[in-house]
Amino acid sequence: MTEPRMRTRDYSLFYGDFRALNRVSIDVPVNRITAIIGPSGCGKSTFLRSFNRMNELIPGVRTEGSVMLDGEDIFAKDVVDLRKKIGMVFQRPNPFPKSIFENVAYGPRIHGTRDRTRLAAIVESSLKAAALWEEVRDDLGKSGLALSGGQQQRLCIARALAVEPEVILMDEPASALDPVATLKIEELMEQLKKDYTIVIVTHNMQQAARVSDFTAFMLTDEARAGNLIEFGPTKTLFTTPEDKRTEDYISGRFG
Amino acid sequence: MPRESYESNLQTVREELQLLADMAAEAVSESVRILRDRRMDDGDALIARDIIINKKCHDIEEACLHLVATQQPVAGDLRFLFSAIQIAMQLERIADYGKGIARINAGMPPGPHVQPLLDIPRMSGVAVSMLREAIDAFLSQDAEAASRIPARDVELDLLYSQVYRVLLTHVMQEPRRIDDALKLTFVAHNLERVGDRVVNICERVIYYLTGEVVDF
Amino acid sequence: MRSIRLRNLTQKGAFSIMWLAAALSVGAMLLVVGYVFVQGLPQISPDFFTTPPRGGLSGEGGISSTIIATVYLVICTLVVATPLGVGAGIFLVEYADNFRSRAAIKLVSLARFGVETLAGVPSIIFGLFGYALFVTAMHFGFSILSAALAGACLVIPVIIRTTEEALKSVPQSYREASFAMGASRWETIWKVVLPSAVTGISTGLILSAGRIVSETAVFYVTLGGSYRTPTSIMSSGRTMALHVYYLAMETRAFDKAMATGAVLVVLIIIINLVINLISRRLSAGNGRRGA
Repeated sequence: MTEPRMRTRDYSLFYGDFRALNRVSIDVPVNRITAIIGPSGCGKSTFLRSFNRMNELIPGVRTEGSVMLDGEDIFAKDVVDLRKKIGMVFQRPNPFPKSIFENVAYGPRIHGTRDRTRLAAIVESSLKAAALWEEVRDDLGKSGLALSGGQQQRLCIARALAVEPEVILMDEPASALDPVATLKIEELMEQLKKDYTIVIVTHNMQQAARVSDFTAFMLTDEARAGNLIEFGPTKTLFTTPEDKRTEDYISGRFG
Repeated sequence: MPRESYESNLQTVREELQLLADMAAEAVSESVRILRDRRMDDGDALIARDIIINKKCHDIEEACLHLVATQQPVAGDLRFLFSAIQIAMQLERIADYGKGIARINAGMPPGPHVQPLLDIPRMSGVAVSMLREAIDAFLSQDAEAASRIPARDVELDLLYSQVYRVLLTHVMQEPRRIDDALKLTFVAHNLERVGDRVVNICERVIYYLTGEVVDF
Repeated sequence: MRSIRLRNLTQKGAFSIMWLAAALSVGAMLLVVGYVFVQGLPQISPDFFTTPPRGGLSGEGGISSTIIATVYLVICTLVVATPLGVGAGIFLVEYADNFRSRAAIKLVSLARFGVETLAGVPSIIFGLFGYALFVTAMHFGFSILSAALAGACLVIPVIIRTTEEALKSVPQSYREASFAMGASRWETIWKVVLPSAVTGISTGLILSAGRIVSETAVFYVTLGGSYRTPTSIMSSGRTMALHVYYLAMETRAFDKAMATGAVLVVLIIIINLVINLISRRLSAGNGRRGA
């Protein structure tokens, strides 16, 4: 069993005095898709955002415990460097109001790449990896906002891939898309996991079952803090879960 | 309660399985009684009834398939539906054994057997009681009970050997009725196979309740 | 049955009253503008725009120097007010909410309150302030410089407010996406937020330009009244709006005052058309999102 790409140990998060996440420990395996499921408000998105320290944008947030990327504490690293290694795709597609080219080139530019030829090569390979190249290759100057919802989301994925991350975080990436676009994104994830480690938060249990290799189930306790209830290979969790709460949730018997 | 119609559909599957099990058990024990009492007309009726049993098995399978397709069951529910389909198949085979016994009875000339049947009805009793216990274990979700049943299969094996020995001796003493004696060994063999099928059912029950695959 | 009839009557009655109110408002406005135009149009000729006023009681001449003074003043005021106003707006929207210390948070809300209040201060106060500080104490005298500085105080609250609105209307998701890729806060503002907000901010700047063109009280006490063409930032001068006042009060050329007024009105109309065009492009840009 190879080293996990990311690992958290007893990780807790507080908004001021309120504990939002309670001692979550998880090993995210390398080059696999890990899904985080659970009812609304159980802290899955908050937990996801902990991986790339996006929670720091909220004033008053405090953390305990450790989160590690390749064995290094992410809080000891430079946050810009960290976010280069960990990319994020959001629930609603959010391409910038710029051209397709400028959208994808944004990340590399921020991190120092200026050479136009090099940027063009990166844009092309990122769009290819995101399965969007064939559809937009003739008009990279078109505004990112002029694409359909599914295409916009793939553009956001290309944008995240352009900085060559190791990990890609996806916060309900298909929930704003129609079923056909959703399937395309799922297929894309299947392709991407060969080269990247993917963590996805999803409301859609069938999607988690279809797409992920490992699944983590989270739930809030009486103090409204999010807890990790069960974590394991998806096949096992969906046929013989260990915890009754997991079984009840995935069978639709509550929440 | 969430998913009420789904729950009631699952309950329907349970009830239908209970019914199918009753029909199969009845087919086996009735077939042996028919054999013992040489009731030829009742034998024909039992053979005809096998169609109804087959249909019920298919209905249960279809109901389970529909639930899998439309309700996306997972974990316990999924294992239940999967096991229900397999158990229905086993029950249908058991009923076929009953039909087989009735057919054998129809193929034998009327009149008393080579010797009064004692062990064969005893085998039927054991097999049918194993079957009823197995179905109870399934529907009341008792893995413990299900794991105790396969041990009784030994009884059936012993009884079968006994039947075989007795009939063999008889044949040697009265070679004229070798045909009837052979047919009776087939009947005993069928009943022994019923026991095997019940053991399969118990394995399915354990899988449903624990997720473990066992071989008894 | 009766209640339905009553409802219909009430509907029609309300409609008529509102229609009347609208008609009266528009009519009053048209009356004012129409009067000015009718009185002033005869005086308008190419000469009117190219000759300077000759001063004295007769009020002869055109308005060339006032046009130049107005333009000069607008440019100088905006040069001062834009960096301060836009900068403050950026601070209030992008940085201010991230302070954790109680003192800093208090300071920020105080600043916000200050901006709100300033927006409502009567303009003559800014004029007097400008006179006391720039004209007298700092010895700038009556000049474009003094007027620009005083005028900046006037328009900065407007620019701050429109900048804030423009920045707030940039979806938070853009900022999140930028941060998630490792951009710093300033990089995000400069490369993502500002380019999206530029249209809204420009609207604020043009609105301010319109305000400066129309303003009289502030510049009356800081610009002086020279009818000569201003040559440097320290020159005195008069804006078109002020020229209307001077013509009306100090000369017999009431018709020339009306003419200047007409030119002013046209200028304001043009400014408003430009603002409309820009806002329409703004909402069209937002509406162009794909399915």
